[in-house]
Amino acid sequence: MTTYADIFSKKERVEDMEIYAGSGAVNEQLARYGVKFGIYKNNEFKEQLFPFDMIPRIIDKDEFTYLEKGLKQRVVALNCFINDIYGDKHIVRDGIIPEEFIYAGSGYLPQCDGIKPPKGIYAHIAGIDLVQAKDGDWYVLEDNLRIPSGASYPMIARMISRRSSPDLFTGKHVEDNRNYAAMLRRTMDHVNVGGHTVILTPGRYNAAYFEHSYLAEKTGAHLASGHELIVENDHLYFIDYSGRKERVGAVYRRISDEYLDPMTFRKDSVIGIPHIFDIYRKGNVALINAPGNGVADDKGIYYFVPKMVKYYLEEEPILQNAPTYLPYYKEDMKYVLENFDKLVLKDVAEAGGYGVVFGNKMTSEEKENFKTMLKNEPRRFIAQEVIDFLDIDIMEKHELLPRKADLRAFVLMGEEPMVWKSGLTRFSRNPDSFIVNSSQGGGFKDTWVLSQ
Amino acid sequence: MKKLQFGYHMKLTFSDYVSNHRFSLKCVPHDTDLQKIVNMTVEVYPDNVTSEDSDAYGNITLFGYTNELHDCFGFDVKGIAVTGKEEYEKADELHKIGIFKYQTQKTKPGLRILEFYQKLDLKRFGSATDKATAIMDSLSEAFQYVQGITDMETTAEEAFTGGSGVCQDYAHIMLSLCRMERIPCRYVAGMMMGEGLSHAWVEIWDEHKWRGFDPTNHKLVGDEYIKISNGRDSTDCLVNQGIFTGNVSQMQEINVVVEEVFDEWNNRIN
Ligand SMILES: Nc1ncnc2c1ncn2[C@@H]1O[C@H](COP(=O)(O)OP(=O)(O)OP(=O)(O)O)[C@@H](O)[C@H]1O
Ligand SMILES: [Mg+2]
Repeated sequence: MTTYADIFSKKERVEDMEIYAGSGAVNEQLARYGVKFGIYKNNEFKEQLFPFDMIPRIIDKDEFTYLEKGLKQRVVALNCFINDIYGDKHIVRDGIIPEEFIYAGSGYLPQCDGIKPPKGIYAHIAGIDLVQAKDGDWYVLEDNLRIPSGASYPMIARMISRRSSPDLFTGKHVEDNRNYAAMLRRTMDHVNVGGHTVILTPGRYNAAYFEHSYLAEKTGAHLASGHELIVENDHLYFIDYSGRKERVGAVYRRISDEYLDPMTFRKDSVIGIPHIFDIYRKGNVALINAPGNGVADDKGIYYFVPKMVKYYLEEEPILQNAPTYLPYYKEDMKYVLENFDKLVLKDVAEAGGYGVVFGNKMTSEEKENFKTMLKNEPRRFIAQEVIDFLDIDIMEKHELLPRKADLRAFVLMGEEPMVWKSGLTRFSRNPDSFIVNSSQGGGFKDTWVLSQ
Repeated sequence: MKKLQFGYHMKLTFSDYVSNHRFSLKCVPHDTDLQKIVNMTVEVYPDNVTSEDSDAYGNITLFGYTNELHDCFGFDVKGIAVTGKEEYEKADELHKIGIFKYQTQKTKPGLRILEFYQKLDLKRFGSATDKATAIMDSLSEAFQYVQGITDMETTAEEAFTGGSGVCQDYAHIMLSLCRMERIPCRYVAGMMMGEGLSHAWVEIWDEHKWRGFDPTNHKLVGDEYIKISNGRDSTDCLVNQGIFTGNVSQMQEINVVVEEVFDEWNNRIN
């Protein structure tokens, strides 16, 4: 394991990092660029600053090679799964996943049944959340397959850091992360069925707008909102400023499934495009990511991902899940009740760090209430062993402080699966907390993958 | 087997002009194991651009748009259905239709349906068909056909609590009860011999067969029925969905006519 202390000289550590941090130059610049983090809660975006810490997470070349292999394998298997679920459903027939985990959850969209998206890809962009335990082992905590966000933050932070402290990178052999845009472009072009490529944003007042516009600029895609796109004669068109209509072949949409098309999903959506889903069904436009991916990334399904790897690829999973229990199974319920205090419990319907509770942090009354809920609705929860994951130092008021940090790795499915040699490292600002989510006040770091 | 001539007419009248009208219609019957549709004509007005596709449940969907100002919108579907070709539709394997076992927003039971369900004591019966028959028998006693009390949005529990409603409500309540027994079942929208409104009933899965039950009329579905669409509940089978520009109120007229036709010697078609 390489830490920043290993690759920076003592002088650099004291001087460069302090200047770099102390001045807050990078954060100031980020604020100027409008780098904020939007969170969806109760169908409303909330906007928060996303503080940047300049001490990077550093991943050795060999270690990243291992992660890369495991991540590709995982995302390939997840894509097989989504294709299967909206197709023949063999994994249900063969009893690998109980059907209620598919049909009784909210992730499965019956409207998608029978759809083969362009090139058979459902999850084009996957954000896989990992943590590294103190002994060096990595664990996947979650797969994000709907609209995983966050790649733009390390991209722009790297760019600004390079600009403000060019020496920081010299001789460090850090993989360049500017290629994310090119990877994304290849991914979009691969499934484009003919025409322009558009990034669909809910609009300028959306807190994630920075990421949408930044990715559009860097990939050369059109940035558009719903009212600039129209379905006519079974095809999608972009209406430019002069009123001319141009065919669109691929949409990287940054609005969720339910708002995508008021004719198929939520009727009150004003940010979607009427009939886009109908022409997508006909194969006349690619949607990135495909609608319906929620069936593969909820916390209940997570338990089955290593089984999917074996089932579809006939390979041993390279990456492991955090040890997870499904109270749905009797033995697991027993284990969870008996070991309640050492486990973390998660509500499968929640996200953003909400509904994640640590057994040992509950009062005895809370515990009893929780156990009753668990017995009444076993399918609603999963339980996990608490992974004592690594701290990474952050710089606060010229002091180095250890904080919990996870990693969101980005896997893109173009012609081949690709893993971005960087990633979003999120950390908790609270010394006693494992919860790194930005919605819970966390910050982020750049992720340096070493090239030698 | 019957030869049924059908006409399905729907007209929306708006209180003022609307424009940029986008619509999706599920008003066209398609061939199934039970029925074959011939000589069909479909007319959607005013002038518009229309495409056709089938949705995830195999229903024909017409979708399109009218940009000009208009104050009415509608369709006319006419044709002939040869019905009763088989007694039932062949069903997919169970693992593929699992979605029809689970309750939806519309069918989710509340206290009243639960209480009714417990009284039914369905454990006495073996097959899904026997259970569904028992459900239909008791439902037709416990629920009254009355128009104008419920509407499109009414759930099974709301309707059942009120004690009366229309075919959509009968179907939703029956689906709710069957799903409590984990019997896969689906909502069907269609037409029935006679003149009046469109109709709705249910199909339940029994050993690879979809069997039709009409709880409103307390009978099994036979060759006097023409299916248009099916889904988890009425929301998957909406005849007309639209969005448009214009702040108006609207009035809907529906007229369905289905009558048996005979060949020139006045014999039934065999
Ligand atoms: N098994 C675990 N051991 C230790 N910490 C954990 C564990 N599971 C989750 N956490 C912490 O809680 C955070 C949130 O967990 P998780 O990702 O499962 O929830 P979430 O609500 O899906 O968040 P999001 O969707 O924003 O990623 C993780 O990023 C991690 O910091
Ligand atoms: Mg997470």
